[in-house]
Formats: sequence, structure tokens, C-alpha cells
Amino acid sequence: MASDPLSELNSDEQVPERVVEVFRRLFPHYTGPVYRRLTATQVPGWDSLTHAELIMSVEEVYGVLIDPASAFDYADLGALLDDIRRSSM
Amino acid sequence: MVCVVGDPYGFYPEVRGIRPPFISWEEAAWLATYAKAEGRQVALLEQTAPLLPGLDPWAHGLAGLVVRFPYLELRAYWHPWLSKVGDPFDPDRIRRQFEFDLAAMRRSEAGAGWNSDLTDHLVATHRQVPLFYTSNHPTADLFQRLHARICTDLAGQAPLDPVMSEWAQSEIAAMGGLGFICEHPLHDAVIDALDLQWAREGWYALWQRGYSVTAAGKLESARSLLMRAIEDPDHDPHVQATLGNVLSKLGDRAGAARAFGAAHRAYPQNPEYAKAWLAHFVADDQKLSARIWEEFAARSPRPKPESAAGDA
Repeated sequence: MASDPLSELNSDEQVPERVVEVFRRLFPHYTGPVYRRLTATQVPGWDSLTHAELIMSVEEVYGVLIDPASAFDYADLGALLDDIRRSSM
Repeated sequence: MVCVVGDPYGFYPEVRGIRPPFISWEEAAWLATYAKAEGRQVALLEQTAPLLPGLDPWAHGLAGLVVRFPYLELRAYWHPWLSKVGDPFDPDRIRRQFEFDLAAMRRSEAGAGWNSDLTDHLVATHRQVPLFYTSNHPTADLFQRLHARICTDLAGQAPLDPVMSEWAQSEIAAMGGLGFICEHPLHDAVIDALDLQWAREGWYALWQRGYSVTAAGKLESARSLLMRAIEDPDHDPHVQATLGNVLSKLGDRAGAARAFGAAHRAYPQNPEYAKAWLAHFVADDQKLSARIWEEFAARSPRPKPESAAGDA
């Protein structure tokens, strides 16, 4: 693991393994690849509730809180990760 | 005629007794085309959701009028959903879920081209008045506002039948009680975390405390609280069902039958109340039980051989 846990969010390509684990737990029926451009319409069960759960779970992983007002503006999973990274600054 | 089109909507028509016609997009296209050919107006009411892109233009093209309206949902009120995310009774978690609920509703309102009137109203009043029966069934207060705005948007596009705008408003206003879909009160932790004053008053508070102590196995305390709740003339019949369960566990079969009977008469659409009433009313009389079940079956709507409705 990197010394700064949030540094793993810097990648423009990879989704950190810890986020993938959260994702797999919340969306067990989705078996495809977890990548930054993934959107809610591609994943069974990704609705407003699991979206909030996803955010709260990723917040717990990285120990940050994001502004809920922006929670439904993300175009894809990568945008969520970017917001988590920004929230830690 | 009102139809519900496409996924992911679904109803439980056989047990709930309500069923807007549930049709596919192919059927909707055929109906719309037919209605327009007959010179009738076709309006499409599209419910917007925070994470969905909305209908394609071809779907809008089926109708002469298109009005979008927001999906309203308050997940934080009913804790079973929260159990998926760690401690369901963590007040910070409940409040955080509430904030996400508000953000989702604002997003839905924005998707409908509305401002945040409904969400703002909810924020301003949710501590004083109940605004949801279940996580996605608004009470009359919110529902009237939703309906009024839909009518306003429709009326902006075409003359509106007063039946739709006026009669429906009075029907919504006349909706009493909690409706058959709300079967249990909010959890203490939710009431405390969100500081819901309305839930701390009158029969609701007694019901809520009675429900809570029932879960803790304190049946005599529960009976006392629930008996006081039903003395309130405004109490909702769901209280009777909770009382029925308590009396049944205490061995008071006749009392349980009376309580479940009251709940069943108030909410005949709820099959659980009917079954509970019957189980306690007929006691061990198998013949009487069989006769009553036959009567129920004769009254119940028969399921269609090929139901198009899926479970939501």
C-alpha cells in the first residue's frame, strides 16, 4: 500500500483495488470490469440508494467526507474518485 | 386512461388490489398511435430519477404533451435499507443518508426542469409533519404539491380537464391515515437522529413506543401503550395490527381477533391483516376457516394468466 492512501486515487486509468472490493460487495450481480468510466446505467442495482452506499463506503475507506450536494453530479465512477481525492485536500 | 410503461416499475396487483395497466413500450406506442388517430390527446408523464438519463426522444414523440416530474424518495426513514451499510442505527449514518436523499431529490427535480420547491418544502417541514408513508410514497401534503405542479405544467401546454386538476386535488387531500402500505412506525434512532417532532406526539408516539417495546419482548408494556394509542380517535388502524400481535403473544386470542379485525376492515387490501384476523377469529374451527377462505378467494381479483408486471 502507498504511504499516502489517497495517492492511489491519482491514476487516470486504474480503480484502486479497495474501491473495486467495495464495488463488488455492493453490486454482486455485476461481473464486468470495474473501470473509471463505468456509469450507473451499466451496472445492475446501481440506483440512488446504492450510489449513496458506494460513496459512504469509499469515504470510509479513505477517511474523507464529500459534499452530498455534488453526489449525483458524477458522470462516472472516475468522477466520484476525483471528488474523493479533492475532498482530502 | 393511465398506463405505466416499461421497466423498472412493478406492482403487486393480486394482493394489493391496485393496478394501473402495466404495458410494454410496444403496447404504449400502439395505444398512443391509435389514440392520436382517434383525435385524442396523449400526454406522457415521465418520472425523472437522479441517476438515469431519461427517455429517448422517440418515446417523447409518442405523445402530444410531455411533462416530467421528480422521483421522491426518503430512504433514511426506514432503517432496513440502512442495515446494508454498517450500523443501521448510527445517528451520523442516518443523517448522512438523509443528506444524500435530499441531494437525490434535488437532482430529480432538476431533471424534471423544476426548481427545488419540493425538496425545500421537505427540508422546512419534515420535523413538524410526516411527509412519507414509506420510503417512496409521499403523504398527501407532498403529493398534492407534486400533483399541482404536474397539472400546472400540463395546463401550460393544453387545456386541462378540471377533473384532473380539481377533483384529484380533493381526493388527495381526503387521503386519511397512513394508507395500507405503511405497516410499521419509524425506528427510535431515526426519530432521534432527524429530530422528527411529529413522531413524538399523540398516538404515533404511543404506537412507536409500543412497537419498540414489543420488539424488546416487553409485551405488557406494549399492550398498555397500544391500548392508549387506540383510545385516540385519530389513531391509524395499523396500531390495531401491532396490538393484535401483542395480544396474540399474550394469549388473548379474542382480543387479537378484534384488533386484527379492525385493521383488516380499515385496510382490506392488506392480506396480512386478513390472514391474521382469520387465524384468530376462527380459532380451531377448520370448517369455518375453509368457508371464509372460499369467500376471500371469490372476492379477490384473479391474476391474469400472463402477467406483464414485474416485482419492483
